[in-house]
Amino acid sequence: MRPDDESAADDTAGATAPDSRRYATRTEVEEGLSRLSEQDHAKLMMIARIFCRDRHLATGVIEAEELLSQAVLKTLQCDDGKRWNKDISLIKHLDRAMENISGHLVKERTKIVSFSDGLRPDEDSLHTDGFDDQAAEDEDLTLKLQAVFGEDGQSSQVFRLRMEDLRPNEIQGKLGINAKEYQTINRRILRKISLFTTKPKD
Amino acid sequence: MGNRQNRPGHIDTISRTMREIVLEATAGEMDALAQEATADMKEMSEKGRNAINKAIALSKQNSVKGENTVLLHKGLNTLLTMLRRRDNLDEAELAAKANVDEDEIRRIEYDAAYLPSPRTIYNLEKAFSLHAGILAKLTGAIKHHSLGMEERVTAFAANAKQMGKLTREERHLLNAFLKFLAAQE
Repeated sequence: MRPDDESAADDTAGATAPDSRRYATRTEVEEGLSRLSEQDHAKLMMIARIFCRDRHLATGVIEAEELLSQAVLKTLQCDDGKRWNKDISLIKHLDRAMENISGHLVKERTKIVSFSDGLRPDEDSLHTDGFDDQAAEDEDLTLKLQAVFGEDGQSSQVFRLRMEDLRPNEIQGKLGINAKEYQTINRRILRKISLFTTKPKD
Repeated sequence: MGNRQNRPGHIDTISRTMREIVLEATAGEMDALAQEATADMKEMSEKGRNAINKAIALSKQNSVKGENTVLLHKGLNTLLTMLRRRDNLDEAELAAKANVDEDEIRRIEYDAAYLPSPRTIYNLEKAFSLHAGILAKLTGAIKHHSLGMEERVTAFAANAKQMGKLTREERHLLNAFLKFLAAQE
C-alpha cells in the first residue's frame, strides 16, 4: 500500500500522533496480507530461504517458514521496530523484518558460541567475512558467485555490478549491452536465485 | 583493513542483492519461473502462504487470549472492591490486613491490564478468608474456562457499584459469584 492509498480511518489517528500516520494498523496489515498474490508468497519464501541459507540458520535455529511466520506475526502485533511503515510495500517490509529477526538470531547464536569457548563476542565477525587480503577476498567472492551462477559468466558479471549498487542503465553502459539483453540476463539471474534457494545446501 | 572490517561481508551483500532482485521481479517474471520445471515455485508459493496463515491464526489466538485476560481482570477488580466493601475496609486497611502495598490494591481495582503477583493474590485470599485459588482464577494464570465463564464475569462486573455499603442485591450477587468461582475446575 502506498501513502496516497491511506484510508480515512487513518485520518482520525493521524491528528493526534505526529508519526502514527505512516504506520499501518493491525487491520491494514491483515488487509495487506490478504492482498498478497501467489507470486508474492513465493517471493517471500525465497527471501526467507536466502536468509536462512546465508546466515546458516536452517540447521536447528529456524526454518524459512518459521522465519516468515515470525516476521508476519510481529508485524500483525505491531511490535516496536516491526511496524509496517506504509511508505514501503508490505513484502519489502517483511523482508526487513526477516532481516532484523535473523540478524538477532545470529547475534544470539554468536554469543552462545563465544561464551562457551570463553571468548568475547566479536561484533565485527558478524558482519564481515574476516579477510585481510584483497586477492583472497576476490577469490572467495568468485567461488560464492560460482555456486549460484555456475558457468554463466554474464549473469555473474551483472550480479557483481548490482552488488556495487549500479543502476540498470549504468550496467548496460558498462557491459555494452542493450535493455533487452539486460532483461534477459536479469531473468536468468532470477532463475538461478530460485534454484539456489530451492536446492539443498552442500 | 580497518575500513574493510567495518563494511558488510560478501555474504551480506550477495544476500541483499539477491533479495532486491527477487523483490523487483514482475508478476510475469515470477509466472515464467513457475512454468519452468527447474524450481518448484508452486511449492514455494504454498509454503509462503501457509507460513503467513499460520502467523495470522496465531496472532488471532493471542489477541483472543489477551481480551479474555482483560475481562477476567475486570472481574477481579470488581470482586476485590466488593469484598472490601463487604468487610468495611478502605484500601489502606485492606493493604495492612493483607500485607500488600496500598498502591497495588489500587492498581488491581482500577487497572484491568495489571496482573498481580501470585503472592499478592494468596495474601488477599487469606485476608478475605476465601478458599485458596478463588481469586487466582480471575488472573488468567489458572486454566478454567468452563462454558459461561466470560458471561458470568461480564454480568458480575456490570452489576457492581464502586462505593458504599453492599446492598442486599449486591451481597447476593457477590455470594453467587464466589460460589460460581469455587465450582470452577
